[in-house]
Amino acid sequence: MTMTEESRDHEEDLLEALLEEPRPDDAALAARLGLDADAFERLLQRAVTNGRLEPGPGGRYGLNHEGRRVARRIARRHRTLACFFEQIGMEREAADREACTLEHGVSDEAIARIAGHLRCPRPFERPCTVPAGEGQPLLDFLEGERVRITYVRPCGRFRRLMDMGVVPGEEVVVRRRLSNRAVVIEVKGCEIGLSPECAETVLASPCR
Amino acid sequence: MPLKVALVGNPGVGKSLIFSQLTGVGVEVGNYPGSSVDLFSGSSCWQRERVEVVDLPGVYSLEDGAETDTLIRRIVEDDEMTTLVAVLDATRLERTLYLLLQVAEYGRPMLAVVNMTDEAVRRGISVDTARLGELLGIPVVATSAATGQGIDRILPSALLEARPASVEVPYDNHVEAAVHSLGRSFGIDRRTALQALQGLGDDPDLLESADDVSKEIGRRHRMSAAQIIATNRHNLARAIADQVVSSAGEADAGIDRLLTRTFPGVPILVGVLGAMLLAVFIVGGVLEEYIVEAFDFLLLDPIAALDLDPLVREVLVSVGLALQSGFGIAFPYIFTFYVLLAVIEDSGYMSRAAFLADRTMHRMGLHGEAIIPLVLGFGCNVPAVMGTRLLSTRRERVIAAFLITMVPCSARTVVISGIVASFVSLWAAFSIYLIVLGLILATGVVLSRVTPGPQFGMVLEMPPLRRPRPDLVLLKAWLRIKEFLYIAMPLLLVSSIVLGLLGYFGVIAAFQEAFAPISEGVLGLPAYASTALLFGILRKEMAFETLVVLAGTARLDTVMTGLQLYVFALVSTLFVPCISTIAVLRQEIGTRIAGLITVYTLLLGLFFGALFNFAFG
Repeated sequence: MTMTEESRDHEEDLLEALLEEPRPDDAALAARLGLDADAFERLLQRAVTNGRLEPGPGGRYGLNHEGRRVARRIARRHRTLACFFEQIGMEREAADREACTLEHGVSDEAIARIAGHLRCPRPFERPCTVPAGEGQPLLDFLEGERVRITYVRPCGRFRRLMDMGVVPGEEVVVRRRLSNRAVVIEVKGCEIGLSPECAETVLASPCR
Repeated sequence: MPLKVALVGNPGVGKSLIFSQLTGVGVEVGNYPGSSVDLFSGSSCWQRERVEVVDLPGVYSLEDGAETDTLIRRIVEDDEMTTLVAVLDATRLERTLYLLLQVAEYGRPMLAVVNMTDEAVRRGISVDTARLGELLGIPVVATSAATGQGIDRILPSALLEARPASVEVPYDNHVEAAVHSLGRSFGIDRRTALQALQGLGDDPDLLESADDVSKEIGRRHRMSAAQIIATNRHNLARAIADQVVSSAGEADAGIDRLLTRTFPGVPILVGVLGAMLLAVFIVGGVLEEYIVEAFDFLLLDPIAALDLDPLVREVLVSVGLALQSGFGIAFPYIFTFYVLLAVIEDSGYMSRAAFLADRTMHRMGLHGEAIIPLVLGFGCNVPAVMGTRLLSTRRERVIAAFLITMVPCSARTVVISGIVASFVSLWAAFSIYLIVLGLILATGVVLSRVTPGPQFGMVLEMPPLRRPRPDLVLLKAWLRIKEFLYIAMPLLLVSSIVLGLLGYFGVIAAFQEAFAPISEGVLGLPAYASTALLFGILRKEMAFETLVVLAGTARLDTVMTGLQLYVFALVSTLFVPCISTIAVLRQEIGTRIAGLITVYTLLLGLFFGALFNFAFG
């Protein structure tokens, strides 16, 4: 490891630590980073020169906008890597340690790909499987049809729908279509009515 | 520390009924410190100790972000609460378990009550409460609030056996990882981290980081973090319900189809509302006479007979008048109305009506669900304005409050029936309703144009249609009228005394003189009618009573023409909501809009009064 790489890693660790704990105990932080008081002071100065720290009230240094951005990027890398290592069977602590080392060198592309790999297309199993694709709005189904929700657009009364059990993967029955394009569905043994704006945001595919 | 028990549950699980059976009639309506949401609380006794019971508003989730949910979260967290009683519905166990699982995450001592067991038996559903208790790790009591069965076991169980639930929702890996990392970074517990992932909390740094994480989770799953969390909870609720519920048979739609089609749904809706008004007209008119006479005989006549200082007498008479008209309106008109409304609500018709009305309501910038507070307004505008809190956006609340204040309440019904129906004709009385309804529609259309904003649509539960039980209907009407008495009565008393004093010090006479040109010239009414209209601001029905007093005869048709009577009733119906309504408007939507409504209705009343006067005079 070259000198500049090492100081970059230290600086990123510092920023990450400050994101987690905005008002740390300096000595403890220095110890955590494995630095003595002088080296820690130099590190702070360098971060200020690089435009990532700013003096705050009481002479303490705090993250500025840029510092926070960098710190978040590193934290995201850390989370993604730790999650990946855990998924392939490592213990949580070991995964964390590994992520701490790799988070500085890994490229953004690699992180994006690992995140993509982690992406789980079907987080839960249900008796009827959905063909690929987004499905059609609830308004397009006939009375009495049993459908499986494939997607709920996150807008409008989305939270209420979710709390009533209208979530992707749920099987519902279209009970009635009302005169004004509203729909009554049966979900979890209860009938709920959706006005047209809401019924449009819920996509489903037929269950067979 | 006093014992405190809170009831938490979905709307319509019978929470209020359990509450009223636990506490009897001594219910108080109050606000939790720092919030404007009404809470019902009452007390009960258990082994000679006083137990405070709080009935929390019915919600579907603790994490909706609405004011009510925030309040409930605070109460659930509150260490002073001895036990949380989560009320479940045996007929919809899975859905109601979802809320219980959220409450369980707070780690507070809990008890689960499985209510509606009678209804469940009728539908062939049975719930294994012992197994449910094992799965949740808390005691479970089966009750039927409608028959009172099992209610006596709630308090002993809540105070002796309640404990934190052992059930834990297994969340998706990514959510667990995020909870873990947020927990470590910010030193927060699991529940706070879960809420932060859903955008709830008050630490901006935490919310910012949580937002990053939840966006990332969203990208991976094609579902937001909140949706995943909800799904995990729903799945556990299903798994539990599958183990404890056994059911046979299925409900069928039957006449429900007829009620929700445009035809005959809309004519049925109009017929139902019309029949309700007519019934209130007739029943209220008969009952009111007796109550007013009783007050005259027992209270007002004795006060008049006493030899008192004139100022003291004025105050006493004002108080007496306030009580007389408060009860004279409250019981005959408002109570009758609330009984009929409870019949309609308990039958499950209200949510059908909401969907039928949805399209019309849209023109006014509202959703169908706003029909509930609007109809409530026919009883009394004050609780109706408070009922607008159910609506989801401020824009809808403002529009609904605006329109509610124009809805002819019971007191205005008294004016219309006492003046127009008695001395002109029943049809003329109905025409006033039609004019007012037309104006409400027109105002709504204009308001929705001038206050643009998004409309989010409506999601409403459609409870099964069923025959309402008379005792439950009366109980519901009783709780509502009590709310009315608590809120409106104090306002009525204060305003009555103020007006009495204004009269005593001659302010009203001065007003009458100033207003006479408008009254005579523009509206074509005798000068004293303006005083009667002014009294109408205090309480609408006083417009009628004052007119009778000032005219010096109860045979109003001998001193005023039919047109004058009609114009008087129309103007007093339209113009300026009563003082109690203005006060509650101010509290709910702010001084500016309350003022705007007052000015608008004043101008509207004068304009239409003048129009009729010149067109037909």
